Amino acid sequence: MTDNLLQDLLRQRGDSGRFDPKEALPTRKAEAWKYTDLKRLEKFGWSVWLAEDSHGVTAIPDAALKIEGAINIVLVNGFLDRDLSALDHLPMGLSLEAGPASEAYGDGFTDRLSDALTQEELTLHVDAGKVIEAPIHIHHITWGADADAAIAHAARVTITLDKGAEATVVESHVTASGNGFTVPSLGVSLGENSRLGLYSALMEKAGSSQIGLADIGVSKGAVLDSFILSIGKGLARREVRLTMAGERGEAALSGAYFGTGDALIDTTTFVTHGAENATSRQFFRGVLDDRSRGVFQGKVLVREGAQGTDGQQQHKALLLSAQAEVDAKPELEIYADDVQCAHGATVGALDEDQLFYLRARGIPEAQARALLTQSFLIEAVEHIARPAIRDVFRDALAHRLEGDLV
Amino acid sequence: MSLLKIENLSATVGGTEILKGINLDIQPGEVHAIMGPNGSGKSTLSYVLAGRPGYEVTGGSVTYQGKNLLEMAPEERACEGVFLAFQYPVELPGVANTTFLKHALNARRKHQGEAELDALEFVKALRKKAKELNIPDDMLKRPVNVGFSGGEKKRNETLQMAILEPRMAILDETDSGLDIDALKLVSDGVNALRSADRSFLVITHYQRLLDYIVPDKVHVLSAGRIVKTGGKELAQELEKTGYAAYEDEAA
Amino acid sequence: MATTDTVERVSALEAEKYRYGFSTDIEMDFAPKGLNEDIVRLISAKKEEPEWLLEWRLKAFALWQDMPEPGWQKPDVPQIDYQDVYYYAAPKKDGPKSLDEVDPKLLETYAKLGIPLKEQEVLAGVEGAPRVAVDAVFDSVSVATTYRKELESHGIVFCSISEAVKTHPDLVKKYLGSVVPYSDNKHACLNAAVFTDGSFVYIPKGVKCPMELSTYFRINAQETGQFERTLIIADEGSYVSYLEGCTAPMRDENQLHAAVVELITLDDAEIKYSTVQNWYPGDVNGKGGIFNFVTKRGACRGRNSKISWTQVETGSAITWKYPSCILQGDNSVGEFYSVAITNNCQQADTGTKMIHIGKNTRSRIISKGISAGRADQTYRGLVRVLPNASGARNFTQCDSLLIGDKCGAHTIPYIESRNPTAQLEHEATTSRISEDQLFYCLSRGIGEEEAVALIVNGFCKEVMQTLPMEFAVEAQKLIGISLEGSVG
Repeated sequence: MTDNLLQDLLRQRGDSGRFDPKEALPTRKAEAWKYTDLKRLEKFGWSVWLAEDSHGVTAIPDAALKIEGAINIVLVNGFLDRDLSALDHLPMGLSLEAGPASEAYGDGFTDRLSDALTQEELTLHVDAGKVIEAPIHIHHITWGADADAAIAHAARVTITLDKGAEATVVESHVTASGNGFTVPSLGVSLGENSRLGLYSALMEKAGSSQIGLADIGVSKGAVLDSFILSIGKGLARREVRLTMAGERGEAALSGAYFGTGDALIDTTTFVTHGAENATSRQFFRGVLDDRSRGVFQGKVLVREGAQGTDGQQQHKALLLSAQAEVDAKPELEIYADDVQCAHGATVGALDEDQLFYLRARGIPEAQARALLTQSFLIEAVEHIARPAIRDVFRDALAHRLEGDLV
Repeated sequence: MSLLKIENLSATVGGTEILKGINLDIQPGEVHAIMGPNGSGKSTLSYVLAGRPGYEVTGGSVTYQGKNLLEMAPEERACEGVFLAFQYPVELPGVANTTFLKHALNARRKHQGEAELDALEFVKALRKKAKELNIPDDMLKRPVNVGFSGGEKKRNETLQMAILEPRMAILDETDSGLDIDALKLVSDGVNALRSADRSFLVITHYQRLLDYIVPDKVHVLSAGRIVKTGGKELAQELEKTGYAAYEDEAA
Repeated sequence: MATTDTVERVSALEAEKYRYGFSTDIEMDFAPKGLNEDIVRLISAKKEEPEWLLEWRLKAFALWQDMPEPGWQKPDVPQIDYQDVYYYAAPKKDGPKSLDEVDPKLLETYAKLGIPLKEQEVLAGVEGAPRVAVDAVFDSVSVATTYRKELESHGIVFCSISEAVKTHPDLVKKYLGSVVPYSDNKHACLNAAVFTDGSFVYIPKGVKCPMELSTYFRINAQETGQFERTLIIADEGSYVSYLEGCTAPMRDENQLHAAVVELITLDDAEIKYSTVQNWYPGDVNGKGGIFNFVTKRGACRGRNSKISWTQVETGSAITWKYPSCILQGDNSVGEFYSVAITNNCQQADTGTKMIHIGKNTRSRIISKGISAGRADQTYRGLVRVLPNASGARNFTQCDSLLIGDKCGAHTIPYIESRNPTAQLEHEATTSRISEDQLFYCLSRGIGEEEAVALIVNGFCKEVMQTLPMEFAVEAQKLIGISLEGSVG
């Protein structure tokens, strides 16, 4: 333990990256971290996982999502495990390689942290015009030698779809053992007229903390369908930077989150419309129980000249407990006049009329509440465009809720 | 002297030539009907006459009361007495019907060098006309066309016409979306406005409107040209034969 | 036709647009330029203030010196040279005892502003005529209060705050700084140190104020900052509607206006506070204009009490203003209705805070922002529900309208809930005036600028409806004037 966790991690990594010698983790004084307190990280003395360390994972853990017919790729503590990954018979047009981390991201804290801690980068590439039917499932697994182990690791995945390519990628995060402080980064580039389904599932144990980053660029005519299911029990922050860089691009960015115990779930999106006639749709739902906390910061920026932009955003949250909290900051920054931009944000409790109606039909109150809560979150899950993935995510959510609500 | 004289008028929309040399001569007090199939240029003609941006005149002339109509801004045309009853009346959230009409009427009065009506006089006049068109008071208070049914919108257009008392009224598919009762109501409203110095250009796809608003002349528009002109019997003829024959003629 | 018309129109606007841009030639009594402890002492001494108030000012001044400028707002605020400002400017002929003693030139100024003080006392006897009591603040000193006698008969106190310090020291001492402490922010802190005047209102228990109370603020002298301070206390079961109008003459330099308004409602009391702000916005290139850095806050201390803010903000070069409500009393209600119009180079960062503390507290926010020219506008709002605020409700609607493709419109709401029975609803939209709407108006003979004003007034209707009648008409016209030159 030291008084500066960040500097300690950098020392272990042997690379101070783009940090000042005295710089520490951001506090709530920083606007971007206004609602997300990183103090809980100080409870552990984190060890940075290095390339020469060896883990004891022998199979994909039961806790992981199971997607039928998927190409499973497994990363343990930030490094590709070739034995657990199905690398041998990749479909034509898909290439997957692990190598040293590439160039730096942006200037934000999470960008720099990811740059400093990432040691290996997984590169996924789909050739022009190729359609990869099988979902590609990237498993991020945290493994510690024992229950008290505290492992810090960072993985970087880069996904590139060439012109007209199509793929479905699921990236999921689970804890096999110990506690993880993970900094996953995802760089995604959709070439002209390509189509990508990108689905994230954050399901780490209590005691874990994740500060993740996705940087996505959507070119002309490309279509992104994405979803973030955040049902872990620790701290999970996901920053999504989505840039509509080509005209007529379409992006759906949705998510559902459920917090229990001391979970802190933070979804921070930043959608930039830099081209004409592009469409972005954000649809988020969250439910907070116990002492959990939900944070939604969603910004839509329309640059000068991005006429014809259609940018919509909706965030709705339910609080189930007197100790739970939700903080939302939806934001519009508009510099073009021919736009349709709107956001809506609501926070509330379950609808009393609906609750009464269910009970009047004989359903016990607790069950009625669970039913309404579930349907509230499922509404978001229904936005997933790929039916097979939608089913898996719906089941994962139902399973998580069952464990808590009923 | 003609009230409105259109000579060899051609116009483009988004670079596509829609009107290809229209000729039309409307004398004061006359009712002319323009009939034609979809896409023949009927609505384009009405928008060109009203001066809608994006409708570019590429040739010919339009003379209204001896003046060059095409040189006038849309609001000038309106103040000079040209009125377009829109096929799709536009919604103006938050702008009360009464307020809107008062602004419109006073703009015209000012243009004509008349004193602006005070609120009381105006409301009295408005109520009277509204009653004739079976327009309830509450519709006058509501924002312009917001939440109006198709029939209400068309009645509202007719009310505007009654208030503004144009010299040259252009009715663009006023019958579309109207049931028979609404059609009668609107037609009665129009007929009540017929007078020796007021002319109408009635644009329609169907003959049935012309059973109620009986025209002096009927023109068949096809592919941007007037391909036939006749009396009111031409409308009945069209009802039987359809437009097919004229489409050939245009080609 | 369009080109010549536009050129002529713009040059005409330059000269005529700001119709309040006249400057009155009145002898002023200035304190030396600049700010130091001596100036603070001088202001306090000039006003013959008690020791506690001087102490309070000095504490504020001491804190202010080390306080950073607020840095989170969107507008770029140029460095303000606080030493280049006069902090005390009063018309030399001080202490008018009645309207007759008021400098006739001053009265003329007010007449130009449309508030003929003298006439109003005459009008007092007229049946059914709208009755407004005016406390006029000319630069820094409250000059005259009309209707005093009638108000006094109801036990209502409506006077300048300097006077209230002398006549009602207990009330002032109890409430001054209790809603906006001097440590709140740099601008409020400066105000606490140097405020020269402002209005004071006290409505006794059970009294419904029989007329609208009104203050006109006007910045006249060059390089005079205006630091007025308003304190309104509505005792149990009382009601008052308060109007505030602001104008300033045209000047090349930026003038600082850092006001503080504190409202307090006790059980079952209600304050309705309406502002039409029309400070000089600077010229079309952004030269000159007022920096309007205002801290306005109300505390609903009592049960079932209500504070309602309505603002129509069309002026100022930079507006930084967040009229807020602290909803302490159970069942208390906070409202914020706002129209903000920015044109040319104006910048505005405005919104509200609704802090729900008591049970069943309700708040409603309706914000309509219109941005034109090269202007930039931000709605910034906070709705916070604390753990004990069971049954709290908020509804927020923020709509922005852009006129032209060189302006910006931004919406930054913060929504924080810590009570599971609270219901919060926020909606925001951004759009522009559609060409269809515009053409429709034109085709009915309505000119382009009039059409824009008409459509914008429709867009703002929900807010305009909350203004008192006499204000609404003026505000509607102001919207039209503010948007001149924004189209065509």
